[in-house]
Amino acid sequence: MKDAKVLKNSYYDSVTLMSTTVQIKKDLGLNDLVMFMGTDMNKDMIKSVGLYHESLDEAKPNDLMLAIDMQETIENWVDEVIQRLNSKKKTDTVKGEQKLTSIHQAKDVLDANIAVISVPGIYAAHEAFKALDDNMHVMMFSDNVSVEDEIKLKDYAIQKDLLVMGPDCGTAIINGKGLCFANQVKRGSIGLVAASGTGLQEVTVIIDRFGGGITQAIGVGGRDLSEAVGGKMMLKGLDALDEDEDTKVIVLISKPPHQTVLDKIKERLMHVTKPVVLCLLDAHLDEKIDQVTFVSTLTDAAIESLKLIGIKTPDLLAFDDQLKDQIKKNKQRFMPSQTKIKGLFCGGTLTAETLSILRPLVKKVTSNVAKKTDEKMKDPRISDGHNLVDLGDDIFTQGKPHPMIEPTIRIDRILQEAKNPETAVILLDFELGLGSHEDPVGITLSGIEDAKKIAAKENRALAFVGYVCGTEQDAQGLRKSENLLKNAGVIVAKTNAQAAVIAASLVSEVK
Amino acid sequence: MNPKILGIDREIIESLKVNGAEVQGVYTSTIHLLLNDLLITVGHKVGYGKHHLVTDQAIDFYAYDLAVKTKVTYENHTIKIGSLVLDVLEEGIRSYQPYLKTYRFNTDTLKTISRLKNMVKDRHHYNVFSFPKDNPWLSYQFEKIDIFLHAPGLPSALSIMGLGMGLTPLGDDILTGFILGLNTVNKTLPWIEMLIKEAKHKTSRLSYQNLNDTYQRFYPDMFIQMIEGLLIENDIEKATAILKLGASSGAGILTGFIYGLMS
Repeated sequence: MKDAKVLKNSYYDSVTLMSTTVQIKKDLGLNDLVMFMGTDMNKDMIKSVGLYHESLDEAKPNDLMLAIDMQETIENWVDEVIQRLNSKKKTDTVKGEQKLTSIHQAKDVLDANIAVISVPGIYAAHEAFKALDDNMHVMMFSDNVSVEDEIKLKDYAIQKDLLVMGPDCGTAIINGKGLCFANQVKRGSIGLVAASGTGLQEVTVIIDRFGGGITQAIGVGGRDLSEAVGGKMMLKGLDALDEDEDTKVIVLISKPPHQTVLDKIKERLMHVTKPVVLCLLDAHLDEKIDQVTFVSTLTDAAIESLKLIGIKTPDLLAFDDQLKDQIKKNKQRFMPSQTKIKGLFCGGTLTAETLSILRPLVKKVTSNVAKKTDEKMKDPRISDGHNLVDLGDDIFTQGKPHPMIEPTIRIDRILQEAKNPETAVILLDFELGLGSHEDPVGITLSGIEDAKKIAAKENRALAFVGYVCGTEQDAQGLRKSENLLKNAGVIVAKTNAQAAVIAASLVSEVK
Repeated sequence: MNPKILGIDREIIESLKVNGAEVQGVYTSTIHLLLNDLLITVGHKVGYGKHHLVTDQAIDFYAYDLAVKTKVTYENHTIKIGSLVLDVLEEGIRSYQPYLKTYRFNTDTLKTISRLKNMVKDRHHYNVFSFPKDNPWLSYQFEKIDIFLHAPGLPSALSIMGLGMGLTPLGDDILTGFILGLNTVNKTLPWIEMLIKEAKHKTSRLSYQNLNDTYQRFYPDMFIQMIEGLLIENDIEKATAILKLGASSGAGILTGFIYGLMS
């Protein structure tokens, strides 16, 4: 049934309209919903797709037109839509709490010692300087900060013996408090410094799972280990953890840094008094430094750090009989055309780890996070061969929330891959914890079901491999999320690295 | 302590004194005031511009329960909007002038524009160069926009005016960028004036004002930084702040700008 409504003099910005339309369609089970300003051209557009209703005739350019196509009649659909639009608008207003309108005021009122900055990049450095002036550590969630500003901020912070985590820093756990995207993990004796958001999450959740705990998890931002920035905060964080009495083992995590920065880190490591696990994703170091263990996967970083505090872990890459049986059954259902893995990730570092694991296991894998030219996807929006796509890439997130916050944007891509005859395995990650969607698995299940149906129409069966990065203490619940996936027929991996190996074995290319 | 106004146009102050204004729309971090026929945008991150009031701090306007039509008054360097009081700093009162600098192309400029085009294509999901073709709404809009860009004229411009979602429909963003591009290389097209007149009743008030301000060369500082970054420094990164505007506004403005420059 089709219907329409004009909301007089109602303005909503396009970001609100776009993000809310998807959710309202899903919540109310609608065939279609459009929310456009009442201009003549928009009326023509609505007519062209058959959604026009004569009640829209009265709409003027400053009015909002709602046009709807419902599967079943919803009498109060207008109220439902308005309620959702307005709740989206007002989510930032918390009644009964004191409103603090500046960093300086927050410092005065709360005696805060850390400022989390999440404003458009062109303003972020200015706010960060204010926080440093007030002797606060800074976590900059904002990206698009110039490298010159980053260097100035970090130099200033070092002068004042403060940390600047970021820019573009998504994860930190300071004194047991998660900031931005972080999981609920136990406190303990392992301290981490990382230039990687989901990498830090992955290592901390594995440590937590086997009984270890965290002192501090310091993010430094992806550009800290560039030649220009010179690893200023990685080195500062390393020193801080070396001096921290509660920290017994230090873990450093990064994609391969610039050689000059790596040299600085190695030089500093020679003077650190505590055991260190150095995880350089996708890199191999032959040299040895006393008390330093080199690893190249996130799983190994967690295992080695646990070992150093006396906790042994099982082989997290091994396949038990049940898993072997699942793999065998899925492989038997593939058609001859189905030979490729399609990794659709929300986490950038998890994408990079998967790339480094799959490289020796399958022929020619490409990704939008690859550094090597021959491994770069020509267009991350177009699937071709074994692909690992980080959907948090700017190209997918302009004007939209990050997929860790709004995973529904991944569903369209799952359906796209399901239509591709070469797709055998769809590999998915799900991040739980603070900042992430309230039910990232639940919201994706309908997409998985629809994808299977699309493939089934052409007698193809898809294999889904999923990994849930989280802990039982996270609000979303690790076990609950994993069970939802298992009930939907998804092969659930113990770690992101194991998920990659499972995917490779499904396409029978394990060497 | 009341939030302060760091930037306000002298003519706006004078008009506020005499006529007052009223709230026209309330959003999380900005509000729109209706001052005679003009829309004034108030906020911390709105950037300096003739019709912008820049505050010294972020204000959650929802916290003040401001309703549409709430009266706005100015007296003794203080703007009162319902329960919200803003202090106007003397040094924040400016006389905005049209941006009259124009530029000539050279080989470097052409290369920069080519890189800018690739940036829009690669970094934004919704752009005329590549967009999800299976989305009927986007296909409809981009087909019309494509016709305008390749055959700019009054009919094709009117066919995209007011076309698209949100406060400033995508079609208008394209037109704004196109006029900005023309101005930048000091070109005029005879039908633009008629287009602006038509905009007054064919699109939203805010969108009309953006088009008219651009036509009159009253640019927000973000536009000026972009123009000078691209055409003096040949640095496409100076356009990223615009690319990030709205869901599709930034990509629309840049696309129009490229075609306006090359027109």
